[in-house]
Formats: sequence, structure tokens, C-alpha cells
Amino acid sequence: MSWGERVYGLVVALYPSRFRREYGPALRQVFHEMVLDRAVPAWRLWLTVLGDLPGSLLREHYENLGGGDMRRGALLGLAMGLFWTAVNMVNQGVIVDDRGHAILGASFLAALVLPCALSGFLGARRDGAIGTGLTTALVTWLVGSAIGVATMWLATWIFYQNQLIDPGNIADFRRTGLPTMDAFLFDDNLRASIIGPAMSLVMGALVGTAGAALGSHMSRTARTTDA
Amino acid sequence: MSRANQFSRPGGPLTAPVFYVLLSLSIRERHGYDILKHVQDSSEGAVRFGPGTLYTTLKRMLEAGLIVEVDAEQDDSRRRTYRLTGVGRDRLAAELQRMDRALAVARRAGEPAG
Repeated sequence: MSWGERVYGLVVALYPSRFRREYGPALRQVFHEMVLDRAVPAWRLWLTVLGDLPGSLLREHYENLGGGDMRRGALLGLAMGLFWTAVNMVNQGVIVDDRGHAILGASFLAALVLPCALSGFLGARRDGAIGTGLTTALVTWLVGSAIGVATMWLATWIFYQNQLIDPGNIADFRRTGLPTMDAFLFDDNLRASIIGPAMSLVMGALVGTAGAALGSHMSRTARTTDA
Repeated sequence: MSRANQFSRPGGPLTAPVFYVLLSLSIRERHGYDILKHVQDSSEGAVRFGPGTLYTTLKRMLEAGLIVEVDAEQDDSRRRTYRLTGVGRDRLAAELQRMDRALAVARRAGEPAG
């Protein structure tokens, strides 16, 4: 086996396992025949092989995950982002008391966790694989977090005046010892931009995996019943 | 659109790999590398793709029922051979007709008025 065929073996390993199992030997065989064909210069061979790699890889990975699951994961992410946006707007646009903050906090937590869990559950139920459920849960997390963080900064800008007179903000500002309120608001948002998605990722992945495990179990049970 | 009829949308053009693979298999059954060579030759080098695009395309065409895999005597057991189905032949004929119509329209548009 030539070094080129060894390298191509590594390239084949980038395809999803299902596709690799079905077509991996055939891919390597075609490459082997290309190498043996003296009419094809080495540079053209690699140009052709690497040129069509990104498209075919993306297509297979997308299909492997199930285009429908990905779309559903993204839609749930959109729902998560919209709910997060609503929480941002209320949190920053309305001056609320401690009870209000507690309700907002609980809603925020639910908005971060439930869509990821549902996405993981629905994804895994399709093919019984926890990995599929976890991947769709992560798609939900990515879309939801991107929207949530972006609208948090937007809400701070829109309701800037409210931020300056919010008693909770003023108390927190004094505790931090930062020189200006602007510096405090920037610091506060930056922390939330990191902590919010990180918390969502950890909790979403955990609950998404739990949802995926349930979906996987239900999928196997349904197949056993059918058989 | 379901996966099964993604190649049979009425009037919709086929992608270059699908069209050339259909064309290649309309002559005779072929294995992977034979298809690649024929695509390259019949398109006079204009269409070139590697094993990745070839097998992702063949996979989707199999799922759509345009081609079938056949058992053929092979020098190498890793080789896989494919044949066009009736559905595939109809789809190719429809594509050629669509191209003919487009060419006729283009020719008429290019003729001098009067």
C-alpha cells in the first residue's frame, strides 16, 4: 500500500461510521485505481480528491444526523432563544422586586434546560442512538445561546436608563467596587455571556443525554414490540 | 420532498454528478472507477469528482431507485457495480428532453428578428 493510500485511509475515517462501513472499502478501491492510473498525475489526483471532500463530508454528516432532527433541533433552539430574549427584556426593561427576580431566574433555568432535553429525547427516539440525541441537543444549545446572548446585550442597550436606577444593579455595583456603572454593566453582561451558555451547555448536555437515553430506550422497546 | 423522489421532481434539473452518472450507466453497468472515468471522458474533462462525491451520489441514487447494485464477477471484491433501473432511464430521458427544450428556446432567442 502506497503512502497516498494510507493518507486516503485517514481521509475516509472522517466520514460518518455508517457511511464508512457501507462504502469505505469501495472508496479506497476507487482511490487505489486512481493511483494505478498512470494517466492521472499525482497533483490532479489529490486536487480532485480533496476538492470534493468538504461537500461530500458535510452532506453525509448532515444526512447521518438526519436533516429533520437538525431542523427540529434548530427550531427548539429558536424557541429557547426567544424565551431567553423575553426573560432578558423583562429582566432589564422592568424594575422587579426579589420575588420577581426569583420567578425570572426559575424561568431562565427552564428555558435553558427543557428545549435541550426535548431535542435530545426526540433526536434519540428516531434511531435509538444517544449520540444522535446529544448532537441535536447541542444544536439546540448553539442556536438558543447565540440568540439569548445577542439579545441580552441588545436589551442592555435598549433599557440602559433602567439599568442605572435598578436598586439590584446599584447594590451589585457597590459590592464590585468597579469605577463606573458602565464598567459594571459591561462586566455583568460579559459574565452572563459566558456563564449562561456554559450553564446551558452543561445542563443541556446532561439533561439532553438523559432525554436521549429515554428516547433510545423507547425506540428499542418499540422495535422489540414490532418484532 | 421525500428522499425517494428528490431526483424526480417534474421539470427540475439534475445535478451534474447525477446526470453524468445516469448517462454513464445508460450505456452499460459499471463499477465505481469505471463510472468516474466515463464521466470525465464524456464531459471532456469539464466534470471531475473524486470517490467521496461518487459514492455519496450513488448512495442517494440507490435510495431514490434510479440505480441498483448488481453482482458482477470482479477482480477485486471491494469493487461495486451498478446498473440503471427503469426509473433511472425515465429520469434521464426527462432530463434530456428538458435540455432539448431549453436549447430550442435559447436558439430561437438567438435568431435574428424577421
